[in-house]
Amino acid sequence: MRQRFVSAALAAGLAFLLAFLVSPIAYIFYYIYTQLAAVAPLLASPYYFDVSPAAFQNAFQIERAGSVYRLVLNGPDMGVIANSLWVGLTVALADTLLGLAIAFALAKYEFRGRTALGIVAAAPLIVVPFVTAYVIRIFLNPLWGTLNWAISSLGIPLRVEIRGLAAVALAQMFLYLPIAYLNIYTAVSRVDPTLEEVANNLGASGSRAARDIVLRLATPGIAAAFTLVFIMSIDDIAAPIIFQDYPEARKLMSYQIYQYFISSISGQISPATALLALILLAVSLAAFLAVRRYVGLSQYAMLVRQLRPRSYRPGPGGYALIALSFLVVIAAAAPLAGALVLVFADRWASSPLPSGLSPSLGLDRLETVLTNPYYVRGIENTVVYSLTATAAVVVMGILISVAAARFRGRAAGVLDALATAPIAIPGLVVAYSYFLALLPLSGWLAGCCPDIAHIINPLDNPATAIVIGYSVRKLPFAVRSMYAGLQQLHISTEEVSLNLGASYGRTLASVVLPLIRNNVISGALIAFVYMTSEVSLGVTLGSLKGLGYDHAMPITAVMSVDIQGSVNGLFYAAALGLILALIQIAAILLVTRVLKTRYGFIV
Amino acid sequence: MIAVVSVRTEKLTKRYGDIYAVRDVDLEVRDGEIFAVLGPSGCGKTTLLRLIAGLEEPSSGRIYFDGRDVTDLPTQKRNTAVVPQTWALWPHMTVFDNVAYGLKLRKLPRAEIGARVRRMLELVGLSGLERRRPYELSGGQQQRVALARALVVEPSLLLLDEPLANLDAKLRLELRGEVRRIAKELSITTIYVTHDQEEAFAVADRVAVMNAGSVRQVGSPEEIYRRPADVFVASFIGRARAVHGVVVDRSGAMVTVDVGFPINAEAVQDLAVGERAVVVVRQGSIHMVQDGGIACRVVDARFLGGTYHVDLDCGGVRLPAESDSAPRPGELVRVAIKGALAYRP
Repeated sequence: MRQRFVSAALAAGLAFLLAFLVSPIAYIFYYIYTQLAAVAPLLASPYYFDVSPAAFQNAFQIERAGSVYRLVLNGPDMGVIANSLWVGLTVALADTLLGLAIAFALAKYEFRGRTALGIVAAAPLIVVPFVTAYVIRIFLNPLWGTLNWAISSLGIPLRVEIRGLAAVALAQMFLYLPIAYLNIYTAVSRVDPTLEEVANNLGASGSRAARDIVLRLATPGIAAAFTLVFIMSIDDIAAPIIFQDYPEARKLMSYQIYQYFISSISGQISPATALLALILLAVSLAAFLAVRRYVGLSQYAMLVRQLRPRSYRPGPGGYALIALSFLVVIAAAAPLAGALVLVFADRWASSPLPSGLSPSLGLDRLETVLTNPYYVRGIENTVVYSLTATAAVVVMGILISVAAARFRGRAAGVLDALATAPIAIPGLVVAYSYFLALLPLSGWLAGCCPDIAHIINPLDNPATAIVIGYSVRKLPFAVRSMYAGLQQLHISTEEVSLNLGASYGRTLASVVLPLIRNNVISGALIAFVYMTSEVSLGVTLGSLKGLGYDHAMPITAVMSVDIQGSVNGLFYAAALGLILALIQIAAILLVTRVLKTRYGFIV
Repeated sequence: MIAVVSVRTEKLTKRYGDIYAVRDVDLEVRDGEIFAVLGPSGCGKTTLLRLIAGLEEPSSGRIYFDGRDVTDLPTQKRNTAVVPQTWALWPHMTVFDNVAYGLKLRKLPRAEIGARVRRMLELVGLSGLERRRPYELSGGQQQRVALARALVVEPSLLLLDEPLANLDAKLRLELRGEVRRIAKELSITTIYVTHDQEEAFAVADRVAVMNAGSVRQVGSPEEIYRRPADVFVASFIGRARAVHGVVVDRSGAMVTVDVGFPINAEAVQDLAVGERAVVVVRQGSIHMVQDGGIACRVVDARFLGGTYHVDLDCGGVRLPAESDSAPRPGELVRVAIKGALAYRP
């Protein structure tokens, strides 16, 4: 009886993932194969790949302008494909090293302000898309930016101009630092403190034991953090959009795919974009498979309870690490603080700090976004998309986790791997593959079933693709959480119920699900929150229906349009961002305080 | 030759908030001695071991090695070697690297490290397994690696925290003999923490019994078994039952305690006629007799290999007895009690 149910759950899970993940992505391969003649020359174009000396000419400059030194950082312009790679690798490397420093300071040293450092370090987990990147742009503004204002206030004769791809990389570094830090902290905390104590007892100093034992055993977590940040960086479109005034910032694969969506309301399909999507996918999957050599990302996509690691009183080196951590963490949290302050500011475009702060201004803006039909439509879209997709995620999550935990055979492993894979697949690739596959499919169905054709047509009705995309992309969070619950539940708990005469369905409903209730709620809640702040699918597929009052954009896409439009749009985007932030804070409090699980991973 | 030390603790205390994990512990461990710390779970014995190792800082009190105050010395400088209950083998290192780690920290020449590791692996019976990873070894082998890793650095003091707790019963019996053999062969001062009385007695020269953070008695296994200092030690050591009653007679060191029927017991503490007392009766000290003794009814009898364990109801008092034959439940029998001990409640 149980085997029949588990087999059916396995079949349902595989069918869902094959239909909505594997097939659309496979279709990109097929499409490229049919367009080989058109796409092959693109790879030879220096616009896409250029490692000639000219690419590095303007990477950085130092010059003297009167009594002040001027440092200009652009980063090399190596063409769309190579730019994405170097920006992604730089961001991942920097965030991994900084995340390691912060994680070690927090996990290994006892000092005043440790709790505060932990909270501030995790604060940028609250995603306020576009607005935080915009605040970083203001910080970096060569003329009146906060950075140069601070440098000149200190009396240093230097002006720093961070532009183009370097600016995109720096912004992403700030935005993704908490992902690296939290994953590394989790990995470090998971190392049994006794292993370190024995090394200390045999004569190893605190730093030696940390290096020989903790760091080595945390390597899989560090590698996973690097890969996650890399994948998120090459998939990011918020920073390139914010810095799009610099032409080089547009020469990234993510921006090119996004730009194509904006101009594809006519329904044309571009072979070059398909090729970029394929390369983006290949690079992400390569990174994912490389890190799987150490560890499945799956174990990082879950909530964990943590052991208290062994900690020490810091020496001079320790204090230096703590000071660096405070500096980096405050810098990384500043954009979020700036984004929230923007809601209440009158102006912040050509000054180092916002001016004209007033609570009534903020309340007016919040009232506008909660009453203006254009914004209300965006909020409604987000709520409808996210709730529908969360319902799908819960149902599929239960079926897949039951099948993965209880099915005996290789298919369970395949299902588990497929359900985890969306972590490694850029949202832009999912969006593009849906567009590419659904457009001809709806055309093909138009003759026989016009209603179905209308529902799945991404130009008429992007909601369908967005909801499916949300549910596929955020499925890993629900599956990992529920799977973890099922693994902790001894199988005899189910067997006793079956032995007393209950069917497996009834056993699931009355024994298993109540016992893993917290895992189900946590998984659903986290999936829901990530959907509300999701960017890649929203700004691409969401924009296909245009900008009228019946638009299909979720909040994040509305924020993207607003921030690129009028000056006032920035403030309304910030107000929408505040609503998103409040939703996320409520969810984090629910997960950590009520459900007593840890908010340990985010995409 | 390893330079072993004697260990002395003076009013050693470790407090977590209002809870005392270790309280005013005064101990003396002689050099070259195997000293067991025995007590129930949560009694503070592991904390005591960690304090001596320098893995915890005491709230108050001092620790001396050979008369030298080491209380403020970090664990790295105490030249002790801990084997934790989980053994804590490093999973990313081979058996060789696990054992060699402490020697590498001491910057010994590579050839000497190799020779000492091989010698130690031979001593613990693991020659040939140098390249294995910990997870490729059996539980018993892992325990030996942990012991080799601790011993190879020639510590002045070996600290074993329930080192056999994760092994099955047969292997435990085998390895406790091994641990004693190796410690004696190297003449190393050893503190051995365990909750298992039989294990403590089999391994140690002397035993300290702990409860609720305090040391209740220190002595040789015979002293602890034959003359427990208080009711706790008497009840904890051996299968025993404590029965409350009133002293009705006294003659020298012997008292008669009325527990519903009279029991003659040796008064370990000073007891006067009319005073309340606790009589501790061990399972092995109650025997069935044909005549005289106390009339009891058999509640249950179970065969435990060699003898029968019999539960008796003696005028409302439940007592454990041993018998070579199997009495039937409900049967009336007569028993004699010898070697009972009387304490103040």
